[in-house]
Amino acid sequence: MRRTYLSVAVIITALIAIFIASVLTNPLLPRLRPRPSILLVILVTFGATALAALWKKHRRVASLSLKRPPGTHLLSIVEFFYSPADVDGTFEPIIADWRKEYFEALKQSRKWKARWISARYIFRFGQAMGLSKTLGLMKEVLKAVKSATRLIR
Amino acid sequence: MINQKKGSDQPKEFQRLSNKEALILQMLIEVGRELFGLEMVESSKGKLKRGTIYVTLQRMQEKGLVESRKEPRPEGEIGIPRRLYKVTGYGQRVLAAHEAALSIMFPAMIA
Repeated sequence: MRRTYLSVAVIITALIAIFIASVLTNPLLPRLRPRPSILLVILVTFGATALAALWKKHRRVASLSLKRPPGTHLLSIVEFFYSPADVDGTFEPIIADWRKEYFEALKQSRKWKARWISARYIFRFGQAMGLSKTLGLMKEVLKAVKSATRLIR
Repeated sequence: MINQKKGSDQPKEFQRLSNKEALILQMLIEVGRELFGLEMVESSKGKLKRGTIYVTLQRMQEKGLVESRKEPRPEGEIGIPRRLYKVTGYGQRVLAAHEAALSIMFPAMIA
């Protein structure tokens, strides 16, 4: 695969070199006036090749590195913003279910299903975060209203 | 169900149950064993959602309607354990009172 990239890069470099040479030595070589569409094709090919090489490298590195289980980052976020009771009672069980479903899908070699499960659980996690905070706020407001009415009486 | 403050004879307030809370309590009583949140979601046929059930369960736990424990796991296994939920005696009484109140207010609906 590396050889392919190398040969593509050599061809593109040669084309560019010919183009530059044709411009510099005008009388010797026929004037090369590539259409903008041809230039665009060359540019896109070069870009796509470079991107493919980068993606390949990224995948190779990613496959070698250790990955965190899903929900690790979200858990650290809620640990910062929510009480330990909320984390223990609300968020950890969601992540436990998430991981269970995710790894079951991976066990069946269904990568895309696992990704879909993760996407859905991220949304659900957000829902739980919003709901938990809203309920907490409502509780505080109710407490404040109750204490205020007691004071008025 | 009248909820009483500990060490006080004065009734605090009427313990209300939301539809979801009543459904969870009914489910736990019918099954007669501890359930995982995911099991409840799956057997509720869409009435309970994965994103909101644990918030409801947490609130119910604070009210004393249910209690939970972390699932026992084999030694050496890592990761976050799931939670098992079971109904408390207080939860059973609250559900009974809730159903009685419903049958009085809406007899046709219960029948």
